[in-house]
Amino acid sequence: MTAIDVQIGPRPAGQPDGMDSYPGGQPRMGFFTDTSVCIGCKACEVACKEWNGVPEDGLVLTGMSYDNSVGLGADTWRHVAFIEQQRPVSVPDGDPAGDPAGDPAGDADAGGGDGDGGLRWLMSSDVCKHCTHAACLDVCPTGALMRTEFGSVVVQADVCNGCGYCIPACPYGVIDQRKEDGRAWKCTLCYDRLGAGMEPACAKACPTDSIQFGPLDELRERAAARVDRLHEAGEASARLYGHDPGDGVGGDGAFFLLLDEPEVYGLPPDPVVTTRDLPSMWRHAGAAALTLAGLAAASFAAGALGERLGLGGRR
Amino acid sequence: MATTYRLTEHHTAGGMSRWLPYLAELQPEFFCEVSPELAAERCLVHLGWATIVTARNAVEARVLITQRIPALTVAGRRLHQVGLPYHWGWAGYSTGDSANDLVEISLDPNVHIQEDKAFACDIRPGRRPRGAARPALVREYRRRAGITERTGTAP
Repeated sequence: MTAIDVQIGPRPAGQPDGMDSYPGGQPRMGFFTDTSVCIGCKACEVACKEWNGVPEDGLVLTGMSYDNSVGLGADTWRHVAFIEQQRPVSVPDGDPAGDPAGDPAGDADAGGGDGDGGLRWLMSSDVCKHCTHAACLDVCPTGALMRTEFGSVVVQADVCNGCGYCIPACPYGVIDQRKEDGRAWKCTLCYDRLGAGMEPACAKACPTDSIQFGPLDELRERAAARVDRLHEAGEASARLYGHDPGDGVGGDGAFFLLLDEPEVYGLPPDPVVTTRDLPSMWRHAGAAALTLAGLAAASFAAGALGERLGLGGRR
Repeated sequence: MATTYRLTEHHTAGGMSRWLPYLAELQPEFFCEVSPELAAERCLVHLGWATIVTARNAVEARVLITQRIPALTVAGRRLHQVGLPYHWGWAGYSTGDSANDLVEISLDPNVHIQEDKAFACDIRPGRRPRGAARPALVREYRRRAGITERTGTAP
């Protein structure tokens, strides 16, 4: 096992790095988080902590709406963002008889009777993306980070030595070091539950099916249909995030339906696997080393030749 | 006007949920929610302290300024709302003043639980007075409002 286990050359689209080493048959599993039906109950956060024994990480009132866990970290593997937006409501109220797509979350007019504009409250449950090209996996020198037979990326806590390389490698800022023990921790896609044929704890606890778990192919189809329905219902800003195998990380194993730009939710708009340029960097470094060695050899050879011809300096 | 409500993270007065670290960390402190308009009028600062006073008591809470709690116009009068989740108390892992200290004791005859969820209040910046100064502050408010044992303290 080399320290930098990077695939050289173009990577196959869609297939997670390392997954082809497992016997076939098991489809790649993932999350589809449909934020348009998230009600911000945080059941996913609590279920995740309960199942995985993740410690509580501080009683801090942040003042960021109802979000007091701030972001993903070593002790927060599911995080619900709350975003308050003052903007005109795009879907007119009315037609109470039949709204085919249901009411997209948060589009209630909270402006009271004063007509002082629409206010919407976006809620979104964030999680490790289980990237197709996972940089954390590329840089892990111990092999603690591994690709499972479900296509998820898991840290083996008993192997991790706490070097921390994976932390700046993650393009989403997901994986983090637990200060108390120095090791890196993140969502495991409930690897232990999957092995027993159960869905992850967050998806199980989600009361609105905002978090859906299943074979990634099936989830992508379902997500595309959901976006179409929201567009038909007039929610023009609905879009998918992380679903595209052609993006900078080769597509996410956990992707999202958002109702606004990714930045609004604190997600990078164009993530790139941070080890993308490593092969080219190694090639350039190798070429530079060869050139230097060649120059050194040439100078010695020139010196020796000069001495033999009596052209050397005074000794 | 103050109005009390629940948060999804806590159960009733928090006697069970405030003792659980996983729930307490999600809503760690008693807060009051006010509109930017009211905050400007009363010099309230986001995440600062505010004291909410009624004819019954005075409590302190951290301030959350939000557009979600708009000022209303009722019968031509500007009416400000103060949102108060009622899940806190003196005991537990997460502690804080109790919003229910502000209300009178009033029972819904049908379902036999407390029935007052909206009541008149004042809000001022800073923490509440401690010890004997706390009832003294409330007495002073009662005197100014002309509230006696004969008028009662109903909103």
